[in-house]
Amino acid sequence: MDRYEHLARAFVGLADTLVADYDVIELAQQLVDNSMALLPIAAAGILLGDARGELHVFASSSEHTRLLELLQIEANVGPCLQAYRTGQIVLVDDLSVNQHRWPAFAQRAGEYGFRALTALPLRLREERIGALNLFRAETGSLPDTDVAIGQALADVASIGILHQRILTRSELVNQQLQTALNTRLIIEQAKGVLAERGAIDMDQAFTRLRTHARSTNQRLADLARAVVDGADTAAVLNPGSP
Amino acid sequence: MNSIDPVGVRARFLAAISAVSSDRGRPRQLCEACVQVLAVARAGIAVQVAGPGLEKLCASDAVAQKLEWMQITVGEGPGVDAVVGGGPVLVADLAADSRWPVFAAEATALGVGAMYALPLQIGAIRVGVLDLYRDQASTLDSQDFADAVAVAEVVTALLLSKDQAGRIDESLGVWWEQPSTTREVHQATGMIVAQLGVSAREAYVRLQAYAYAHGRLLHDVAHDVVDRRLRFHPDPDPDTDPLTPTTC
Repeated sequence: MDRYEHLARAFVGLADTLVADYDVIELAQQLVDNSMALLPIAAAGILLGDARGELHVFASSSEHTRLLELLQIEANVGPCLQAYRTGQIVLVDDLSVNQHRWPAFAQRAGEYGFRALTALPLRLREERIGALNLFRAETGSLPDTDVAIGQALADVASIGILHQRILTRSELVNQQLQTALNTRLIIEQAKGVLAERGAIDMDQAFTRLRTHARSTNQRLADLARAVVDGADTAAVLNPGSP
Repeated sequence: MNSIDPVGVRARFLAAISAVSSDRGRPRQLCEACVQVLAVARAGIAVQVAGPGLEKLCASDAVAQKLEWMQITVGEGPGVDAVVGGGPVLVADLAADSRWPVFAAEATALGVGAMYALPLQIGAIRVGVLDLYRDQASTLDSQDFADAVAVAEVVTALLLSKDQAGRIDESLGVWWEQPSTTREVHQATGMIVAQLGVSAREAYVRLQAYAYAHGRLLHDVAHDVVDRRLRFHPDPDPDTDPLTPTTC
């Protein structure tokens, strides 16, 4: 499948999530997966802003603690915060240069082998709802085409996350974001249940959850809630067994 | 959008609870404190109970009391939707909104212009709903919304602490100002669900009680749980302290 075809499928897939049984977590995860598949990047993460204008990790290319922590450090003070607040793309070609801007973040990113970053705003008209981070292992900027693709994917995802085609008031945005953020908490609770019961790490727990949701055709959020509420998790932990 | 300082409103809310006269019992203090600290005219809190669903906990005044009773009796309203939907339901103009015809008609007759319902929840843990009312139809701006969310979080934590009555004393110190939402707190909650075979609510309450008893912040203890340095064990002997986590 060439790149154009893959790109077309990515957009169709995102559009599908808008009409099908609405699953905001799956939508965000698809955006991350599409970015990883289509762009020359090493890792990706989406952060959403809450009522106070603080960013929280919402989806990422890996659930490994290190990446999540790195994203959260960046959420507190880093390029994505700037992209979120200004609604502008932030390009950092070399994280080791100008470290004084975001010292803690730049250092940690370097330790994990990330040398460059593109932060794309998640926005819809005047509303800014978060940011999409794209990490690279080499210095230098993403080609313009790739940045444009990333921004287009982010824009479609923003519509999906807000689940409204016509926004009339910031109130609706606040409502939607707060609901989405609470849904993320349910996912985290479910990861904990599975990690403990299956003696697996959080990354594996999330993968099992997502895989099972897809194979049983249910929303990630619904499955996660069921897991936390006490549903049997044998099938989730042991895919493929009778 | 600038970062809006959440700590200030939490501290003010806790101070307001302590300052309100205590002769009517603590639940009403929660509602009265909401009215003092948030830009609203009245407030009501309903809590989730097994079986009937929502039950009124408190209200800031007689009108709020009627509104809470009515929403529960009629079984419809922004508060009901907030609990079911798992997210805030903000209604700037109740009279102009057609979603809850019976409730809206009654509420408007009682003089309500706007209503903002905030679920009291932590992920899958549903505690209830905080209903805020204004006399004039008006949009809840981002600052007021942020404050309301912060207060709802404190109310949720306080209501959950009641599950362990006697373990968490009534003094509302700085410990209660911490935001409860960090990823590890929720992961730890899930792990404790599996460790103890209890509900998420019970698991969170145990975590909260342990942290409070040891004078540690929630996210700190949660970190230990997630890193598997701290486990919670079901206690076989009901007479001993049910808080029996062990360090590994």
